[in-house]
Amino acid sequence: MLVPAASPTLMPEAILERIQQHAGAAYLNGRVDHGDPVAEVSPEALPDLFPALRDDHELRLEQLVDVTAVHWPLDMGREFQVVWQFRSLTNNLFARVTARLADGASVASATSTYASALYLEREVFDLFGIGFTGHPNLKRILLPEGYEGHPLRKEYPVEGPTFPEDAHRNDLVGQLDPDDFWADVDKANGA
Amino acid sequence: MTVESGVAGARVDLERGSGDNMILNMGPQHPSTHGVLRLVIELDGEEVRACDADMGYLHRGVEKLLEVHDYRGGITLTDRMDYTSGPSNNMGYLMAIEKLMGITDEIPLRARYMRTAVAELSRLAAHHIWLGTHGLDIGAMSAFLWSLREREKILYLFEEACGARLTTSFMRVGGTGPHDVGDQWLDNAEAFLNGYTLDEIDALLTENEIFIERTRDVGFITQEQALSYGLTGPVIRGSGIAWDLRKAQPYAAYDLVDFEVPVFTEGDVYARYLVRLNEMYQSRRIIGQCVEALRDLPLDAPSNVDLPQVVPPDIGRVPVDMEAMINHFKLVMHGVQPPPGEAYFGIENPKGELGFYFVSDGSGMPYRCHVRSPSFVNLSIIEEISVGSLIADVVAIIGSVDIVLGEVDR
Repeated sequence: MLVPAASPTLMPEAILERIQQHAGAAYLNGRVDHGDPVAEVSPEALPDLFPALRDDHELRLEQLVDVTAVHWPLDMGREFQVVWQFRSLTNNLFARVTARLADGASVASATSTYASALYLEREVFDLFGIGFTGHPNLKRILLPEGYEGHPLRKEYPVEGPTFPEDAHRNDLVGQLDPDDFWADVDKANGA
Repeated sequence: MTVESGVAGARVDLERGSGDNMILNMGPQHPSTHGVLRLVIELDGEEVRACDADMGYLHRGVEKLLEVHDYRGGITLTDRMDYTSGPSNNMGYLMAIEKLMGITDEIPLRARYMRTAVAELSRLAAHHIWLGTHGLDIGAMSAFLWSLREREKILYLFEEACGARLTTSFMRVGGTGPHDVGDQWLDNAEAFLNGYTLDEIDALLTENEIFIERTRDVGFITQEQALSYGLTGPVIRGSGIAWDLRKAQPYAAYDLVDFEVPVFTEGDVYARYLVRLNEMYQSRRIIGQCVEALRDLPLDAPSNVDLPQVVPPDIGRVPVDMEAMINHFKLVMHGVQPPPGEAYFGIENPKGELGFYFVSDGSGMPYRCHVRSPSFVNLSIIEEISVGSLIADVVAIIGSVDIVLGEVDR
């Protein structure tokens, strides 16, 4: 039976130090944000960083809790921020690693280290269009196959895409006179 | 502990079409897939050779919608995700915002106890649905009827406290909001706890030979798999890992109440059943302690933080007090405005770790809000562990992982 530590075994600063050791020159910056250690690394370090974080005996980040992304369309050349949240159950630790990518670039998949990335990376691919190299089955997961566009990108309209065959409906909305409409409603109700 | 390289289970190849294997489509309208999950299963006789899960039939774009709602408006979207435990979802969302604003430590004791009590009530309600449907899938009809009867009483308590049974939108940022409860509710909660019994269901299932036959040594999850697949909640505690966020990183009033975390090491469907069943007894213990603590608090103990930029003023003061009116106007027009930054916060939901990741740009609406849903992550193990089992066991496995499709698809 695996019994987790009652309280975190490392301070956030010490966690950042360990991540810096493993990432080497690819470690760009680190900060403690709302009590959580957050490290930004450059994406080329990731294939080696994932197994290193998991196998480090002081860290033991055994679980990849979450993978997600944030779109910053105005930040040219580094539009996407991919975010990995890790947890160590043994040592009761939490850490966040982020990397910035250009639109259209791919990032290394974590699937060879963490199986939870199988679904989580597919979700990011589906909703943002970010590729994960090395993922064994990278295809849409929430949206149907053949769907166009990636809804969580900022330029994607909240009301959804407008289809050419629906264009006449928008025209109708513009032409509808509310007085006529309510007159029709009254007529339908027999008033 | 090393983890084997995380390869997916064998994948169904629809093109293959050769050999004696049969491709079976299960769902999305199948009663035992608990909603709209579709499984494409490759069968060799009765044995599963490969399994592919297909989801998204209930995708509503919650994360996109959260970007265009203010922080208060987002509350109503959260209880539509895991609709079996609405108040617990609301709480996770609110506490993540509070972490983003840095006011976690200022939440008054009364609100903390109430949140704990309501979260545990919703855990009971969610586990009752699981217990009933899990039994129903395997063929034990009566457990379902007893189980939903108990859940109904919990929904009455929710209705009394906030006016809704399922889509509760319980509480607000900074405390309980308008949903403070009085002595009458505490009396009713106590009456519910005194009359509450799991023994009938326990007697129907736990020692039931057919139930044991269907669940023991089925759907085995090892510790390594549980870690690698990111499993949380009762699923991981059925595989011998005593991980519970309520104990490991206590939030709300969990550090003030006394409870145990049930753990079983077998890793099969029956172990996960025992974990949840024992958890329900612990939930009842926690609720009892919270109700007692709420009774002991003075009547005028605050239930919201004293911060005008978070909590609206008493509505009676708004027409007569200029400052209150400005405060009310600002909050209605602009909403709560956390400072720019990012924060992740996870709570122990009935299904596992429910996490919210917020990125704020300082405005009244989140720049990005990601929901880490436990059902979505836990579901991925099904593709792996159903391989090699019998087709009838897949039903037991789905029931034991306990997913809610509203949360998987968001």
